[in-house]
Amino acid sequence: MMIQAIDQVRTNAEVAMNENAANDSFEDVAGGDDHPYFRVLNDEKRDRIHAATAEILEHIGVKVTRPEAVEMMSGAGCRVDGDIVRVPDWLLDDAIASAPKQFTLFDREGEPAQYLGSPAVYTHTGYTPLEFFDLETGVRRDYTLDDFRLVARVADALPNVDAIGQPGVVRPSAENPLEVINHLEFEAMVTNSSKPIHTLVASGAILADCLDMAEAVAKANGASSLSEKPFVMPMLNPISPLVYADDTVDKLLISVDRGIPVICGPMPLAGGTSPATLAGTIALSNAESLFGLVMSQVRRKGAPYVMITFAATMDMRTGDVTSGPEGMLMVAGCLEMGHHYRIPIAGGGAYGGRHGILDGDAGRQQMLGALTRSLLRGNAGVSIGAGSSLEAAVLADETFGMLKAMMAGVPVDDETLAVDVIRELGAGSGNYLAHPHTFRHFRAFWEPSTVPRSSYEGWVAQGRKTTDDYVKERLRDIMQNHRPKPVPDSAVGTMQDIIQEARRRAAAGAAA
Amino acid sequence: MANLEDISNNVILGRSDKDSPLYPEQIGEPGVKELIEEAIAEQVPAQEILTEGLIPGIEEVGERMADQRMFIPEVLQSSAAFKTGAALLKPLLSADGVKAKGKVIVGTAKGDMHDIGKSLVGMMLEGAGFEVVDLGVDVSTEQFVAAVEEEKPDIVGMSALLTTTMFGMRDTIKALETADMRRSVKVVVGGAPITEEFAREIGADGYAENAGEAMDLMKRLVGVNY
Repeated sequence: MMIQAIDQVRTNAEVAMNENAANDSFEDVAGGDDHPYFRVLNDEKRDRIHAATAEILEHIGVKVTRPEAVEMMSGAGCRVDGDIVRVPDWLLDDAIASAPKQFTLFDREGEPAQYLGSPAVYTHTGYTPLEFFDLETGVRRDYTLDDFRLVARVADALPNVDAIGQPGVVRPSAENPLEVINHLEFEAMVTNSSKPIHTLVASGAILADCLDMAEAVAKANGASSLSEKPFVMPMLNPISPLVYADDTVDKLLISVDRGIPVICGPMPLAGGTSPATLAGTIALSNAESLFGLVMSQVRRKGAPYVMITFAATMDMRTGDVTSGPEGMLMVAGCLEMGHHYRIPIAGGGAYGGRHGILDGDAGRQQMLGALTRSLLRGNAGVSIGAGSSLEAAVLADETFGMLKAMMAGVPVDDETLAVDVIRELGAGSGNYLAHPHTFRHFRAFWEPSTVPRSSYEGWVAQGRKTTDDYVKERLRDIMQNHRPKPVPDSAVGTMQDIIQEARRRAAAGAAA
Repeated sequence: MANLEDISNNVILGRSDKDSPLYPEQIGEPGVKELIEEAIAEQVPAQEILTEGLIPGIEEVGERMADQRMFIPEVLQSSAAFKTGAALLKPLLSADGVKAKGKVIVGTAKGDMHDIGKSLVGMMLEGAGFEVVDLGVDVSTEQFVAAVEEEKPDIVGMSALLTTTMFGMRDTIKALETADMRRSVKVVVGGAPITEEFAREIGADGYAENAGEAMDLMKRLVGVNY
C-alpha cells in the first residue's frame, strides 16, 4: 500500500514532467509573453505585408471556380469580375474581427485535446506524402490502408504528437476505387487513434461522408453532435497563385455549415507559383489564407478557422519543392501575421528526412523546422515525417518533447528564484542535492524517452547503440504493444454502412 | 562590325534586347535583337548568324544547365532571347533552317488546376526549339483529342498533381485509341504522383521525373539529339 502510494506520486511527477507547457485549459496556457518566442518581422514590416495582402485581395483578387461561391461573395460586398473575386478592406477587417480568437479541438473520446489560439505548442504528423518508407525492405513504396492503420496507431502512442495529419495517399484500385478510398483511409485513422485528425480528402462530397462517419463516432462517445466536440479538422489547400478550386470551396463551406473547424494551408513555391522573394511569398500566402477566412465568415460569422502555410522554395535545378532556411522564414512570417490577426495558427511542413531516411540530415531539418515553429509563441503545429518514415516520427516525438519543455520558458517567482535557499547554503560549502527545494523541483527537468543518456562506459556496455537503434527499438515496442482504444461497435457499423453506400454509388456511377 | 560571339553571349545572359531588365547596369546596351539587326544590316548571311551566333549560345546554355551552373529561371530567359533572335532570322532563312524540332501539346489532366509543372515543361521545350501548344489546366479528354486532331502534334504531354486526377490521363489515352489517333502521336506523362510504372500501366510512351528529364525524353521521342 505504502509502496503503491509512493509509486503513484512518482508517476504523477513523471506525467507533470512530460506535460511541461501543456495544457489543461486556456487559462493554464494563456499569457503568451511568458513563453520564449522570436519574430522575423518587426511592426513596420508586418504592417507593410498586411498592406500588400490587402492590396492583393482588394485589387488583384482570387479566382473562385464555383459560381455559387462567387455569388455568395458578391452578395457580401466583394467586387466580382467573372470568376475573380476582390475583397474590400472593410470586409477583410470584419472577417478578421468575427473569426474566433481561440477554440478547442477535442479528441475522439470527447476530451479537450488542443486549445487552438493559445500559446501552447501542438504537433501533428505530416500531411499526405505520396510514398511510405517500408520498415521491412527499407525502400519507398505506395501507401496501403495497413500503413494508415499503423501510422495512426504509432501516432496514438507517441505522447508528444497531438494530432494526426492525413498520413499519406493510398492509390485507388479496382477493388477500392477513388470514390471510396478516402472513406477507407478515414476509417483506418479513426479506428486506430483517439487523437484529433486533420483530414485531407479529394472532394466536398467525400468530406461530407467522412464527417458523417465522425458524427457517428462522436455520438457513440457521448457528444450531442460532432460540432459540439469536433475531433476532425478538414484541411483545405488553395492553389497558388490565388485560386480557390471547386473542391477547396466545397470542403470549406460544408465544414462551416456543419460547425466544424477548418485548417487552410496554401503552398506557394517561391520562384514558381509565387515571387522569388520571402516578403512577396508571405504576402501571397497570407492573402490566400485570409481569402478562405473571409469566405468562412461570410458563410457564418464565428466559424472557427486555422491558418497554416506550406510556403517553400522551388529547387531551380529541377522544379521540385525544396526545404531550407527560406522556407523556415516564410512560414515564420506567415504565422506571425496570424498572431497579429489573432487567428489560430499552425505551422506546416517541418521536414521528415531525405527520402524517409532517418539520418543526420533528418535530425537537423526536423529540429530546425520544429524549433522555428515552436518559437512562434506556440500553437504552431509541426509536421513530422510519420508519412514518409515512422522512424523519423519516433525521433520527432522526442524532439517535440524537448521543445515543449523549452517552450515552458523560465518561470520567475520567489520559489524559483530561491534566494532563501541560496542564502541558507551560502558561499563555498553548499550542497543542493539534499535540500528539499531540489527534491521539489528536479523532476521538472526534461528526460529523454527514446535515446537514453548514459556514460561512455555504459554506452559501450549496452552494445554501442546508435540513435537509429534506439528509435527502432521504441518503434518496435509501440508496434507490438500499443493498442488504441476501440471505437464503439455502433459507430463501427455506421461507418461501414456509409462506406458501403459510397461503394454502391461508385458502382452505379461506373455502370451508368 | 557585327560580332557573332556577342550574340552568343547575350543568349547566355538572356538579354533579348537593349531594354532587357535582367541586369540593370546593362540597360541600353544592345541585346540579341539589336545585334542581329546590325549583322543583317551588314549583310552577314542569316545562316551564319544562326549557326555562329544563336546556336552556340543556346548550346552553351544547355551544357551549363546539365552541369548545374545555370538554373531554370536563367535558362528560360536564354530561351526567350534565342526565340527573339530566331524570329528575326526566320524570314531570311530557307524553310528548313528554323524548322521546329517537333510539335508538342501540353495540358493538365481533367479536374487538375495545378499549372506550374506543365507550363515549366512547355517553356523549356519552346526554348529548346519545339513548337508548343499549351491547352492550359483542367483539360478534358475531348479537348485533348480535338487538339490532337487539329494540331497534329508529335507528342502530347499531360500532367497531374493529384492522385484523384491522374486517371484522366488514362481516359485520354483510351480516347486517342478509340479515335484511331494513338499511333500517330506519342504520349508522355508527369507530375508528383506519377511513376514510371503508372505511365506504363496506362499505355503512355514515356514518363519524366522533372522538367529537364522531360525535355530529354521528348528529344529522344522525336529523334533529335541536340
